Amino acid sequence: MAFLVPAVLAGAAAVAAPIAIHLLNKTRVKVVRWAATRFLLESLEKNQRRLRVEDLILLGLRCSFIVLLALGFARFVSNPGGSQESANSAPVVAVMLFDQSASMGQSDGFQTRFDQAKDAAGKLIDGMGSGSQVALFLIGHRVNQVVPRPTSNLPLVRRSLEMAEPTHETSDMGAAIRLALETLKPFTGAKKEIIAFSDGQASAWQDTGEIQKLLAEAPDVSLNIVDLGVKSGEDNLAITLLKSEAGVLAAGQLSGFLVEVSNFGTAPASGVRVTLAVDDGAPVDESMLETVEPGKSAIIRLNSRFAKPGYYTLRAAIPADRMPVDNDRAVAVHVIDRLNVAVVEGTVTGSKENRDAYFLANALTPVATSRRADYYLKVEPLAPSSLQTADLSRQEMIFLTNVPKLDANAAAKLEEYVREGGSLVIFPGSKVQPAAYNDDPVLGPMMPAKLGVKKESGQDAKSSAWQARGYSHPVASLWNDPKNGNLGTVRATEWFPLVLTPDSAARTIMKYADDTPAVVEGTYGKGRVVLFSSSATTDWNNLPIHPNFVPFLQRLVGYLSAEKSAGSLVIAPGAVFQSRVPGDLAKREVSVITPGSEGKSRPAGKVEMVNQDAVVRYRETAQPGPYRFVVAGADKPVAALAVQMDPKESDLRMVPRSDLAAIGSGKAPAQASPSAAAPPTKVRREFWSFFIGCAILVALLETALAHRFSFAK
Amino acid sequence: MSTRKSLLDPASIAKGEALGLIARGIVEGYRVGEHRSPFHGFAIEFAQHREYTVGDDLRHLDWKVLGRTDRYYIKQYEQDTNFVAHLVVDGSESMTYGSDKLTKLDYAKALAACLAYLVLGQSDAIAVNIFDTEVRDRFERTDNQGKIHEIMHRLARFESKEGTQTASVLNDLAATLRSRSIVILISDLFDDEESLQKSIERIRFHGTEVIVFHVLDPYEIEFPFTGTVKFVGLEGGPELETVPASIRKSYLESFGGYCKRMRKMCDRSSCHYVLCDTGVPLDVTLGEYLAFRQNHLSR
Repeated sequence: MAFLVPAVLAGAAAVAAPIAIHLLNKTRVKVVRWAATRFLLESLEKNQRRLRVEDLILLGLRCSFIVLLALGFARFVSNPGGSQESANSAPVVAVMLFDQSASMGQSDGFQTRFDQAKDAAGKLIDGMGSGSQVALFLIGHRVNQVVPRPTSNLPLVRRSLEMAEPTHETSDMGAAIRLALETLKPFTGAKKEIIAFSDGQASAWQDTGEIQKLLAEAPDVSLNIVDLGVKSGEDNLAITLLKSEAGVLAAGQLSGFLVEVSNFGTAPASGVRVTLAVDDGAPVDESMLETVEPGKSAIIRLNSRFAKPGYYTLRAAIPADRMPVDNDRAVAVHVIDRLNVAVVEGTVTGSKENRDAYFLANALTPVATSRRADYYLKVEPLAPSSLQTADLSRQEMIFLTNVPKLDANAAAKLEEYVREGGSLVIFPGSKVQPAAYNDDPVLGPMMPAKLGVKKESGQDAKSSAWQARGYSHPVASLWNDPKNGNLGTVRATEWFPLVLTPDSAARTIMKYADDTPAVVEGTYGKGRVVLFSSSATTDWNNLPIHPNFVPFLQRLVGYLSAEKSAGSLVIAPGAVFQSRVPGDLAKREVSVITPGSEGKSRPAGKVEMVNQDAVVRYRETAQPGPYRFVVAGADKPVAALAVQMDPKESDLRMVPRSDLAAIGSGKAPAQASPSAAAPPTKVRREFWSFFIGCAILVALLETALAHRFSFAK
Repeated sequence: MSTRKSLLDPASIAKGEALGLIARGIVEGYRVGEHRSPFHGFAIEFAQHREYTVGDDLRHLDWKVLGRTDRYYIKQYEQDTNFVAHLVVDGSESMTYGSDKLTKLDYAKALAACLAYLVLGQSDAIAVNIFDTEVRDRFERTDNQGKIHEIMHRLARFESKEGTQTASVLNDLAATLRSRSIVILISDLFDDEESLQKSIERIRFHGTEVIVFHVLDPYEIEFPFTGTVKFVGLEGGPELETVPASIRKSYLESFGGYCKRMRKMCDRSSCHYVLCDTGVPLDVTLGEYLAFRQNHLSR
């Protein structure tokens, strides 16, 4: 037998109250000089015995009432399990770790894994010996210490547990166990335990070696991993990627979106229908994946056309399975009306094919001349001398190609343009003198890297090729899939090595095969500067005539345009979303249309002013899916975002049982799991309702008897 | 009524003059509108005729009327004022109980004073005996109205000390009764019931009328105590500690039975039994009884 809330037993001391009142009444005697003693004596002699019995009955009932209440509120439980009982009734100091990752939301059709874990934890708490203390940590992408320190207030732990829900985040059990060990460190004397409730998803248990090491350093702590009965990784088909294929999305243009469907199961998935819908509308495109092999992914392209510029959300979906959260995936995009690009070229004379901007201009508007008027991207050629008089504010980005030198006024104007948020792309060339850029007091600080001494391929033919794999930058990541071509065939004959300063925050977009930077980007003020190491003509390299030049340039433009327009429109669950909006919306009320709200909006605060920019900020992004922000009176969203779950969570593969057994106490999970704890929970019974019921009956009986006795007398 | 009750201030009753004033106030209040003595019985003054009925004493038949008219008429008489009222007041320790400031003894003194005032006021004689185990204070028979103040003083200054021997006192009194008189016993009657009955019967045997004023405190009648109470017996009774609420019903049964027996005893001996609740104003109790008596005797 045990008590779940033993502290309440102290309340049983109140049993002394009726006895004390009884004794107190004896001492508080009123003395009366009485004449009719004879009759009093007769009554007493006749009733004394009965009175004494009645008093004892009432006293007994009153004491019983208090004892029953105390037993009820102390939550008395019994366990006729003999030695099991004594073993389990020993007080423990425990930290319960709850894997709150998205995979715990997987359902068997009746209960999610998280619900199973909650049931198991509830039974485990019920079975704990009196005096046990429990802390509760919920593990998402960070450890949420709901009950930060072990407490004997087990109902509080239970309540906290009941309120917990699975998130759409990833979890790191290693970090949680480290924190749990820290929490348990100050406790001495009692048995110390870490009880982990997890589905054993491999992605959550990556650091098994590290966990073993930590537990070895704390031999007094045992780790019990609760087996939720998940025998192996469930089959799961998930959309693990949805993104715009093109760099820039423009109104009226057909835009492609890449949808990656991954099969985390053990059997091939065939006939997978993939749909793409815009906002809350019906699917605008769909396609069928014939087969997705187990452990493999398949990418499919779906298209959409946006009639007007603005913010849109798109949602790709596949048929439902047991883990519904990854059966669709959303992305938010900003569709522009048109994009103005200025190209400043060093050579403006000669045939058009020999001009520095020839390939660049054609790559930026890769359509027939007759259709260029309708194309969203407008290229405006500029001479270096006209920079200081041109209206640069109209331009989304400016390309400098083989410009030998800028005069001070032009450089200052360019600096102001970038500082205020413009994008500058620099292609060097034969006319460029590195010192004119590196040492210019205005241009120099803007440069993400210094231009080194020009090199030629004759000196090192191998190093002149671009890297063939391992692209990490968003602009180049498309070519990680060999089906999209190979940038490794881009070769430079001449180039300026890009020299990054040790403290440079510049980011490499592309490298040469010898790992030296070929294209780098850096920030300056609110803007960005991209620096190529070679020219935009075929004089120094084959990039302008490379098949991937156009897509590379388009992606670069799209990347710079997206970064400028709104920042990231895709965030992880729980991250804070922030997007600039037009200044005239400052202080206006904003509503948000969240996933699953069926188009209904709810208040999301006001447009804030941050560094003189009007900004929409939103924090309640736990639910994956599309979010659109609207302002009263506006006919279209002022911002949009998509919360995308980490694709790792869709991989339900389990850590091998042997690995789990090796962790911590070396116990097999089956021994330490609530499946082991289950037998006691099966035989354990809580009697609080019984005791409270008895207390009520006793109270009623006492009232009735007291009434009857007082009348009988 | 409550004003009258408040007049029965124990401090006032302890003073002769004040007791006299109280008695006078009550009696004069009763007398307003009354013209006949409530104490009928030994008629020597003709009052009226009425027709003879079977069972009437032939001694009272008016022979002259029979001779003249050949009709049977009985002569009726007003009571003579020459009777002696023996006031027998219980001054035992049990009479000192009072749930309020007013004790049963205070009440008995006031009642005795009223009766003395009433009797002397109609030129009858009065004798006062205050007793406990024996007669402690005796005021010999007198019809002198000037003695009323002395009677009041004697009543007022009496203080109880002993237990009760009502029966023996009544037996002694019975032995001294020479002429027809009225014995008025004012007591709580906490004595042996059998010997008390014998004593009253002995007095009645001499043809003396007996009126019993049974003086009781409302707490003795209703027993409304709460909490735990230690009862210290007056007249040397045991100390009894109990929760009165728990035995109230039993006590009331026992005490009620006793009161009934007292009433029956008086009925059997043809005595008037008057329950005097000290919680009820004295003028009410006395007025009701005198009215009853007047009606009863006039039939």
